[in-house]
Order: sequence, then structure tokens, then C-alpha cells
Amino acid sequence: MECGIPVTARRLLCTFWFVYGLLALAGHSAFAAERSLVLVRSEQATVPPLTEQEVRKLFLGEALIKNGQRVQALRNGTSPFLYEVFLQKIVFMSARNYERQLLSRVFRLGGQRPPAYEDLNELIAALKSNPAAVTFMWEDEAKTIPGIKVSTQLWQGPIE
Amino acid sequence: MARPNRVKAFLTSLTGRLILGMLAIHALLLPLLFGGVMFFIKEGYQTQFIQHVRSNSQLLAALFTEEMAQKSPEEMVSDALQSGQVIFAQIMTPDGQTVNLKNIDNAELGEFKEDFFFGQHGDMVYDISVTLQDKDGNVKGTLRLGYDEGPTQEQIKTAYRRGLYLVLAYGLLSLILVTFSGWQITQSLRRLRDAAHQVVAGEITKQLDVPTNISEVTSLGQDLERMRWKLVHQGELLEHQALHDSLTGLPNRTLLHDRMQHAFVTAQRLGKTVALLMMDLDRFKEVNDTLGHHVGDLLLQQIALRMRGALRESDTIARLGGDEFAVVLPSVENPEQAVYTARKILTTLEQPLNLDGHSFTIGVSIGIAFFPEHGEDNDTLMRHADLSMYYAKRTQSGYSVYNPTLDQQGLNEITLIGELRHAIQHNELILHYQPKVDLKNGRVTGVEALVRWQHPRQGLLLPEHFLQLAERTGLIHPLTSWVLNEALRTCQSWHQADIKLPVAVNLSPASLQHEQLFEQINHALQSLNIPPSWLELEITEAAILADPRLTQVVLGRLSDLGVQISIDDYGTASFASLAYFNKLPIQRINIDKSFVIEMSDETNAVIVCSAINLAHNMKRTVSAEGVEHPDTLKKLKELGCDIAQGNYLCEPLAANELIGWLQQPYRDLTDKSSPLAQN
Repeated sequence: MECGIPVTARRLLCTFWFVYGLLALAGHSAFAAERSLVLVRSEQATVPPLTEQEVRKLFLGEALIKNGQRVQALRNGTSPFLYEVFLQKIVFMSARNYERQLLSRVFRLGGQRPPAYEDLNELIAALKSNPAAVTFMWEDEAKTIPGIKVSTQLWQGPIE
Repeated sequence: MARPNRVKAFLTSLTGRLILGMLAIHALLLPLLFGGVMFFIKEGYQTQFIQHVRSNSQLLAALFTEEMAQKSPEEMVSDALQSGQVIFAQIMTPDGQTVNLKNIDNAELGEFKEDFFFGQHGDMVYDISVTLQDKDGNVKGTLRLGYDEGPTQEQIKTAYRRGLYLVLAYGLLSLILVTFSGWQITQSLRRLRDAAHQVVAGEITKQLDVPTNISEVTSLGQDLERMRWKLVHQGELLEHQALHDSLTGLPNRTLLHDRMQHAFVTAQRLGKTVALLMMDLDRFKEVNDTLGHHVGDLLLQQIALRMRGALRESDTIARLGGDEFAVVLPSVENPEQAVYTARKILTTLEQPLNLDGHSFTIGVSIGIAFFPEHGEDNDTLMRHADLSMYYAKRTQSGYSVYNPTLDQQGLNEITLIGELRHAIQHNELILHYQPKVDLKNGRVTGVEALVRWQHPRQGLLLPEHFLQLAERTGLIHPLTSWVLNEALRTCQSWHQADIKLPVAVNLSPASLQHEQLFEQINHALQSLNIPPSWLELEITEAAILADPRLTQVVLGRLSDLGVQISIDDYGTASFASLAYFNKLPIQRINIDKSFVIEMSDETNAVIVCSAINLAHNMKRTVSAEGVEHPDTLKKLKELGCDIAQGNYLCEPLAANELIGWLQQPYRDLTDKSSPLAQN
């Protein structure tokens, strides 16, 4: 007497796991290949979408007035990789040169460097507390955080 | 076996420890330092590279956008590759088609994988993509570029290598410096150790030298030198203390011997003579006993000063102890020179001394002996000078030069002193008792204790043979003490035998001034349970006149106790003190036997008569000593004398003989015609 799963059912189960594996692999590949870097703001914020050039100037410390209010840049330091992609694709500078530029500007023209946050919760809190504040993050990550919304897509491309 | 020991010795040495310490510190610090420096160098190179790549790729993208209309993509890629750093270029159209592809030397490159960090994919190529846009901002494609990471990696490796060389050079240099410093410190410490060994070995006369430029070691060396100096100073002080008398600062006996030895050697070489003067103060003991040791010490100091002033620089004066001094006169031309010095010392001491409010003069007796005539060694010369000093003291001549005939005489006296001391300590003295008879009824009213010395060779010695010697040598105190105790013990035994006789004891001037006299008598009376009135103390006029104030106090206390006191040998001293005697608690006056014996002489008879009358007028009883003739006894009775004592009545007897004598039936001792009295 033979006990166990019938042959037909076993084939079906194998087929299911195979398809599932392929889909998972495909999904993973797609996710790994394409990521989108976006500019985000608070849901209550009134800051209009900014161009890539404006974002670059804003994060280099230049004053940017939109709808009569000064836009505040918040640097997202929660992920070194994200920060490096942002610098490479938007600011076109290495991290050290970017810092040097910011310092140089502050010393020459006054003002403050855009504040940097290494804790995500603090960054989100600062973003929500200031309606004129903007920051950058991965789009998929931004969508999971309540109370903020994507303002502009800055860059999209394959990354590993 | 030797090598591990040497290694161990090196590792435990200062240099070894410094090197080990340096190695340990550098083993921890150098990797940190090297790692830190290399990290920043690497970061710098990488940042520089990334910065260049990012700005360069942007520039190329901008150029491509502008030249897109004039040049073909191939030409643009070709231009981009001219920079040398770009080893791969590719343009992708928006629909994903590859527009152009080219790489240097057709090298096989891997798949394009965009880098965001230096060396991210380990393929030595930094891949970066830049969006191509036209003037209106429309995306025209993507420019993919590959930059060669190799040169930068090489630069980093070179920096690593140079850093490593620097670290090694630094380590080596540190090792050399530490070894050199350790060696320098060790050298200094070794010199310091040698200096300490020098001090420990007792070689402290030579100044310590610790040449070093290390301030701590210099300081230690200075401390060591100070310690050496103090040791030298301390040694000199100890030597001075060992060779000098602390009271007067004069050389002591040890130094005197040394100086004498030197003087002998010099005198022998020059054919000259050395004189040794031994000196002893007269009556110093009395000064000490009566005025206290403080005054005695002051006296010795002043005398030392005076004597030093009377001598030449080359002469040595030493204090041998107590009141004994010695002077060495080296290179004496003739004996007269030494005699002259002795006289000079005597003259110097004739001037009154003022001590603690007391002004008095003190004599000195000097004995002189010459080297080599009287002795060729220290001991002989000192012994001979000592003998002549005793002779000078006995003859009261001030000084005396040694004469070989003095030898036996002096030797006898010195021997006698030792024997007397032994006799006192071993009860070799005996007491004889002479009765005192009441001239009114002929009864015995008391006895006088008279000390005798049963000498082993010389037989029974009377007091005149040894009392002066005892007074001169201070033996008078133990002698008096012995006599008092023995007399009272005998008195007690008589009283136990129902023979109630008071006993009289003679007190010398020195004994009267002895600070413990009262306590001693009181203790003896109490311990033997004898009523104080059974003891009579006979004191000479001279004893009273030596210190009237002290005598009054002492006699007052003894009289208050109940002790009977009488003046002994009355008439031998100044009569000017008669009025003073009236103030003293004296019960009786004993007329000196010199007057009584010679009463046949009119003058003496008048003196005895006057003394009896005077005593009676002063309400005192009178006793006449030295009754040796019946006419004397008769005369004394006629003059009204109260008590008589003398050989005619009864010779001094031993205690047991006296008991036998006393136990005879009653007779009038003054009536010799009585048959009983003739026994």
C-alpha cells in the first residue's frame, strides 16, 4: 500500500515552485536593475516640483525661492550608497568636493549648510515639520513612508 | 647557560626595558598611525579620482550634446578617448540601442556596470553613465564611460609602500634613539652606582664625581655628594667626640696617649725630653657635693680654660676624668721648663673663681715626670707622674717632680686605697666602744664608737692611718655609713640585752654635707627600731664652719628627729664661732683631748675651765676627752665637768668585751681606789 501525494498533484506542485522561482528571480532582477531617485516633501508642503538644475543649486547651498518661500534642503545621510548616487547623478561631485563646496560657499556668502540626517525618523520628522523642506530618497522607500509625497523624479537607472 | 642569563640581564636592564617598552608602544601605535594615515591618503586619492571622473563625464556629456549636430558619434567617442583616462565609451539611445562602441586597443572589457564607489566591482574600471540631452532638455541617449582606476590604484599602492618604508625607518630610528638614550642613562646611572659603592666602601674622603648631562642623575649625584660630605662631617664629629672630653672640650685620655706617643717619637729623634704633668684638683669633691654637680662642671670648664691659657699652642692639655687633668709638654729643654709651667698653672689657679654666685679659690696638685728619664712608655710615665702628684697632694707642695724613692711610698698608698674599699665592702672594719662616764655619779652614760681596721698584713689600724685617705678619695661616705649602721646595730643588740647605752658616732665634714645624711640616719633608726635619742652625733667645729648654713639646716632636722648632737674636738678651731654654736641644736660640748691631756699646763687648764663655764652658761653639758691620768680626772671634777672619757677610765673595747666589762657589779668608775674599779 502506497501512501503520500498523488503523482498528478506532485507535478502540479513542482510546476508551481518552478514558476514561483522564475517570477521571484525576475522580480528581483528587475528590482536590482532599476531604481528611481526622487525628491520628496511633506504632504502638507506647498513646494512645487523642482527641476534637476534647481535641486543641484539648492543642495549646493544657493537660495531658492518658490511661491514666495525659501525652499529648505535636507540631506539624507541614512544610506551612504543613496548619498553617493545622489551626488554622482545630481550634484556631479564626490562627497569630499561637495562638502568643500558647501563650506566654501558658507564662508564666502554666509548662510548654513543644508542639515544632514543619519536617522530616517529624524529626517522624516524634520521634513514634516517644515512645509518648505525637501529631501531625496529612493522612490520605493518614499512610497512606504506615510505623510510624505514624491515631488520630482531625479534619476532612474540600473544599480547593483 | 651564559647566553640566556645575559639576555635576561639585558632585558631587565634599563636599556632593555626602554627598548621593550618602545617596541610595545610602537607595536600598538604604529599600526593605528599607519592605518589612519593610509586611510586618509587612500580616501584622498579616491575622492580626487571620483571628482575628476564625475566632472569629466559631465563635461563630455555637455560637449556631446553640443557636437551632436556637427559630429558623428564615432568621432565624438574618438575625441573622448583622446584624454587617455577614458578606456571605454558607449552611447545608448533612449530605446536601448547601442549607437557606438569603442574601447582602447580593443581590450576585452566586462559588462558595463555603473560604479558609485571607487573599485566597486574590482575590475579596475570606473563605469559611469551620463544622460545626453539636447538644448530643449529632451533625452537623446545615455553616454556610458569607463575610466581607468589603475593609475590611482598604483598611486595608492605607492603611497602604501612609502608609508611602510617611513614607518620602518621611523621604527629603526626610534630603536637607535632609545638604545642610545638608554645607554646614556645607563652610563650615568653606572657612574652614580660607582659613586654610591665608593661611599658604601667607606672611601668618603675623595669628592664624588658623577659626570652626566641628565639633570635627575646630576641631582642624585649632588645628593650623594652632600651625603658623603655629611658622613665626613659626622665622622669628624664622632672622632672629635671619641677623642675629646664633652664637658671641657679638652682631649681625653685616648688622644693624650696618642699625643704622648707622637711627642716621644719626635723627642727621640731630636734628642729632647717630654714632660708629663698630672694634675688633680684639691677639694673638688667637696665643691661637687656641697654646691652641686652643676657648679662642679662650671668649675672644671673654667679651670680648663685657665690652664689652656697658661700653656703653649704646642702643649696638650687633657682631662682624664673627674678632676684629673694631664699636660704634655713636648720638646722640653730642661726640667726647669716643666717646673716653670707647673708654677704658672698654680699661679693661674690662685685667682678666685666666680661660679654661679660663689667666689672661691681651688688648689691643684701637680706631679711631673719626664720622658725618657722616668719612663719610656705611656703607662710608666703616667704612673710616675701620678705618684708624684699624690706626693704633692699629701705634702701640699703644689707640685712635685717624680723621684724613684716616691715609688714605694705612693704604691703603698694606692694599695691601701684599694684595700680600704675592699674592707668597707666586706665588713673587715671593726668598731671599738669607749665608755663615757658621768663625773657626778661615776656611771657610764654612753659609749663612743671608734672605727678600727683589722688589716690583713698591718694588723689593727687606728683611724689616723686611713681616715685622711678615705676623706681624700671619697671613701669617707661609705665608711661613715658602715660605722653608723654597725654602731646602731650593736646599740640595738645591747638594748635587747637590757643594756641601755646611747652610742656616739663621729661625723666627718664631708659626711655632714652629704645630701643623703638625714635620710640615711632616719632609715637606719627606723629599720632597727631604735629611738633617735640613743644616737649621738659628734661633729667637729671645722665641719660646722665649712658650711654653717647647711649645717644649721641638717642639724636642725636631726635634732627635731631626736638625735643628740655634740661638738667634738672643741677648741681646735676658731672660737669666733662660739656665739654661732648657741644657735645650733647642740646638747653637749666635747673638749678636745689635746687640752685635757696637757691640763697640767696652766694655759690648757684655763682653756678647759673657760670651756666648761661657757658651756654651762649656754646650758650645755661638757664632756672631756683624753682623760689618761687620775690628776686630770680630779681636776675635771673640781672644775664641774659633767662627763669624762679616756683610757684612764676605760680603753676602747670591742662590743662583746664591753658587755662583759659593763656587766660587772656597780662601782664608781671615777674612784679608782674602789676594788671593783681596778678590774
